[in-house]
Amino acid sequence: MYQETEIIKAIPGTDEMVLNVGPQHPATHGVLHLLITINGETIQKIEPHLGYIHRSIEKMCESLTYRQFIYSTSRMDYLSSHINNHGCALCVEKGLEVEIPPRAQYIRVLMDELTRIASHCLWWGAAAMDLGALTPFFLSFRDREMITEIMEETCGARLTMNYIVPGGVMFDLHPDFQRKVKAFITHFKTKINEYDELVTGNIIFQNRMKGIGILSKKDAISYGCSGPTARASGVSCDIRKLYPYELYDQLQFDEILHEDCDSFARYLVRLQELRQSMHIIEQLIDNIPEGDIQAKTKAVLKLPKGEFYSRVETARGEFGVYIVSEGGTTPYRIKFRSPGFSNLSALDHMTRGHKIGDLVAIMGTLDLVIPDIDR
Amino acid sequence: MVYHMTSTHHRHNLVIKANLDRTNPVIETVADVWRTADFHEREVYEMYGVQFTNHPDLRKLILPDDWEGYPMRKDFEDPINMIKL
Repeated sequence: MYQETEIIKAIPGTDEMVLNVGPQHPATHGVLHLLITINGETIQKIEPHLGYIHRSIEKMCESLTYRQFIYSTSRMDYLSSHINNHGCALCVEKGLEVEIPPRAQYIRVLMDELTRIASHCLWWGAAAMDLGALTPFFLSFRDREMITEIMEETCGARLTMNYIVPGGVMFDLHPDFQRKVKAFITHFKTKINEYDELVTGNIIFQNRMKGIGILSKKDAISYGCSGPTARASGVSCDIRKLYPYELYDQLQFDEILHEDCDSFARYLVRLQELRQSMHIIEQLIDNIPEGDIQAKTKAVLKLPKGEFYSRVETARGEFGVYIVSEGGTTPYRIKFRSPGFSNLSALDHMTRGHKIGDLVAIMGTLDLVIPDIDR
Repeated sequence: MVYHMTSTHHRHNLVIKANLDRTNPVIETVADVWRTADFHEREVYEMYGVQFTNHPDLRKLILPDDWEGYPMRKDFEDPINMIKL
């Protein structure tokens, strides 16, 4: 609904009124427009209006080659752009049937987990800021900065890394990579306890999180939620465990599950995932094998006629890539199953009956990235 | 119409395909089975013009309300914003 609307509109004959949140609102973390029907302070219904940052990436990809289209996905979920690229590359590799050299696999998984830590760090700061605590934001950005520096050295970019090519990675690691990652892990291991001390144990924070935004296991499945949002409702859905790609079947890590189904459970799942990601990096960082970083592929890639689907676990959930190929150099149709889109659809169900202030807390723990929803 | 279904519990994957008439694409909704289909079907409705019968709330989700045409179709031509590649 793009016509001019009043910010607040009363519905005649009832006690209800309609409140517009967004598209420019600091709590929505992007251009998300929510039409909220409220009665007093209680939310009756939420209607999301999307499309303010819709760039039709799926349509654009239909005119890009298999080497080019991967990088348009960096612009979807910009906080886990490396993992998005990874998912697309896996799908193309599935079609080409190429074997990825071990060194490239190690680098990819290392970068995936670093991206996940950076993304969860930003989420932690932003979620605490939504609830009025400003300090966590600065602390998490301090730690995240170390990762973006590592990324900048190796990939040449801080946010949209564009580091993956079909068959491997684009460049070799920076000579300083291992030292810096180890330094980061040592640093972050002490800092994550600081996160717990500062926010997790805070009684005000807990009171605003516990019992808020209940998403039952049944609903989480029905709404197609994935990632930490679903795992906090007890749904086992970690793609790294269920459909292991690259090295994940050889690694030791736990899938974090919670049964509490509320905002605090979602918060705890993400914090524990940070520790698991560090654990994965520790297993890999000393054992990166020597060798090629790219498999030999043709200059112009052509996928055989058929359909290919691959999925990866991004920081927000399951990212699926579905390619329909007619045998040419460009895909006939591409569909991206973005985690944010499905997670957002559960927002209406989760917030009904809660107060407006809780909406911000619930949206904070959903970890929505709007370009990922709009595509 | 292609449906991808996954059971994380049983680790099953199921793909269901249905043929639709291009001039008048109509199919029954699955939003009463999985609520996630609500948003996904609304997206397909505005992008491809598929009519989902019995859908609880079949309106445009991403595009403006006054948008005409189905932009993801292969024969879609937008005279104003078209970029020929």
